[in-house]
Amino acid sequence: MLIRVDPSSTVPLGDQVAASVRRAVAEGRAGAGDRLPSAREVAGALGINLHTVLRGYQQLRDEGLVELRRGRGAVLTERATGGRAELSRSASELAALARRLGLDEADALDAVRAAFR
Amino acid sequence: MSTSTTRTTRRRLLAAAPGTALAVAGILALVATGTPGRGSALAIVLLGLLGLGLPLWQLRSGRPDVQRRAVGSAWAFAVLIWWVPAARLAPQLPGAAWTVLVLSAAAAAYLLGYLLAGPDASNPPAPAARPPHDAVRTPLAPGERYLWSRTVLSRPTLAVAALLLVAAALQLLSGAGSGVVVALVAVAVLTTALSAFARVRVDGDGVHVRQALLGRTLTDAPLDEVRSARAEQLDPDRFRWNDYGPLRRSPGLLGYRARRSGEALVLDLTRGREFVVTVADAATAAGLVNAELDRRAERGAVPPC
Repeated sequence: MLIRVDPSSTVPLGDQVAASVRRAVAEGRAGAGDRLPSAREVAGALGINLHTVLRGYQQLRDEGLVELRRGRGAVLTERATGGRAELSRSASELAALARRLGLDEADALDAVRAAFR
Repeated sequence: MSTSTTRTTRRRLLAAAPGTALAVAGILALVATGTPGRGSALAIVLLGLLGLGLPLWQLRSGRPDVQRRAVGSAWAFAVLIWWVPAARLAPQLPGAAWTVLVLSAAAAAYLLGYLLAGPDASNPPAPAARPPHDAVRTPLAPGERYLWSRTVLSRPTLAVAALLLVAAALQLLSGAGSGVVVALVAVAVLTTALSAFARVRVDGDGVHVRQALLGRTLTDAPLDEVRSARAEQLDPDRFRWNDYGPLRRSPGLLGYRARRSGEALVLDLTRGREFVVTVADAATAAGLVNAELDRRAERGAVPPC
């Protein structure tokens, strides 16, 4: 599992942490049952705030890709398949694009609904 | 191994020698004061192997931190081994107070040995080097930070822990083993079992192998000592049948072996040493190490090998 952040990027650091995990799953380098490094370890190694890492992990939990358990850390779920991670990554990119265009969540969801029709 | 490292190892062997001599005297006292029998003979052999062999073996590692702990352990063992024979020679000593005294003295002896180990060898830092052109690389942006991490399980190490556990249980059930022996074996079981689960980590400082549960460092390769990295299939013939877990047999071969063969991250270190870790996705890890070496060399403007 490779987690990388570029402090000079405009993408928030927590989002970069989450994106690293999604990429690892999408490329088949990590899968269901794999444990993510502890948030403390990631924060220490990358020189970023512990809460920033936890924000990234919480994004992944909200997407159903990881399970956060006290004492067990963050573990990739059965949903952490390549396709699922790809979908999450595309959704993140869509959200980032919507923000850049000054659109809100409802506008982005309208675009997704329109694409389904 | 450099001259400075060899001299330091020799000095540390001398620092451990009085402790080892005291431990040998303790083992002889244990034999002289004990009751003869197969169980007690086995216990004494186990004690000798653990208490004398392990520190001497670790002193050969050439690693400053491991050597320092080994000298401390040799001195602590020299005190601990006298626990039983001294109590037999002077039975009027009160039990609880005697136990506290011996354990405190062992802790003090460990500290004394640790200090007697003296300063580490002063090896001049190797100049920053670039890995060869054709070495695998995982591209890194100039200011990018990263952490690559994988968990590995050494089943053979776990099996050794299980065997030690069975030996301790047999000693306890047969009544042949003294409390000290059982306690020492219990510590060995715990230490071995903990080192069977490891987390391999690559970051800007190098490659680290740590206990997965406690985070204690088992072995590491600081980036200053790395010349290049590669991923390869491990050749089992290079290792002895019992070379599993942290590799400490030879000063020239370091690392952690979890599996008999398979994918491995191999680092060429300074002073002709090699660091080997059996881990999946080793190519990514090797690429990161080489890319980090490139970045460092660029800061020092070193041409590729």
